[in-house]
Amino acid sequence: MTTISATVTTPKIVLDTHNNLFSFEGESYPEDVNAFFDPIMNPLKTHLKNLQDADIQFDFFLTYFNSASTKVFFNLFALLEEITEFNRVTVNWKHHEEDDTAEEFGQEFKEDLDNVRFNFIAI
Amino acid sequence: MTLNDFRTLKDMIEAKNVIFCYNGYLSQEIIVAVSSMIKGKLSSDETKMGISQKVLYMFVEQAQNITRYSPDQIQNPDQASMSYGSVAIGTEDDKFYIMCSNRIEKTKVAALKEKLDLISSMSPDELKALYKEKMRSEAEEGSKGASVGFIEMARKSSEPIEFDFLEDDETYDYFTLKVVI
Repeated sequence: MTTISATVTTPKIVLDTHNNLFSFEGESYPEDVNAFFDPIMNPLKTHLKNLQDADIQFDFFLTYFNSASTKVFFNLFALLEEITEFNRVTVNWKHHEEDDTAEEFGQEFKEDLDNVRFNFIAI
Repeated sequence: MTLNDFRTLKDMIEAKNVIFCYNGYLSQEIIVAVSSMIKGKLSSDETKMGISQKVLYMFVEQAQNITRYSPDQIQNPDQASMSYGSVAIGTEDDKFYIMCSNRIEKTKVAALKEKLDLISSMSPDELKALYKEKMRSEAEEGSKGASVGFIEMARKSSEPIEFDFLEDDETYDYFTLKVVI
């Protein structure tokens, strides 16, 4: 299990590849989004592409993220939809009850996902 | 600057209901610190969370555009780079405005103007379609972000985005942008 601690501009990330439980929690607006996310997302995507008949769960609780981070998550969600062909994928999109901006971002991600089970959890 | 000059400057800023304004070198550290101030200030004003999140979003996008694209940069080997520009956040008619200004190479003006003219003329549905298209495509050449910042700002803005380019010298223009929430 890999745990990457949060910084003021990057989220806490937990990658439990044994149980296929993944979480992203916090804020995401690093100056160079690709420099931060590429080393995390590239091996994660490789892992996900190799899964078969697995139960995969992603928990997101992002309180703030910039446009470049949005694209990183958008690409991840596209891959999650792809791998539903061989797996069961659940995304739990957590947001503060009053934070309709974060909720709207979740809605937009969900629109493109037909086979990922996408849950909204207001906190 | 005399003491009176400084007071005049301060009075002008306060008359425009400015919560924050900055004119100078911006760095990621400053963006983080100001974001924290914005959250604290808007929270104490009991601004709705959805609104304060949008204000924060606009500020970070605009300030990070300056740190990425302002031609007036200082690169110190032992420090994060700093870029010169201006940012302001304030209120008018019970709405928040977020503005930024920085110099831009004349050679880059036409492409940016074309992009912003297109974005500012689009309906919400057209903006959404363009946004999704950009999300799926590779980042534009020379872009250090995701090329979607302006589109997202236009989508989150309650009024059409305003912008202009003013002559500075033979090499540079001044780019100024305003969004309203």
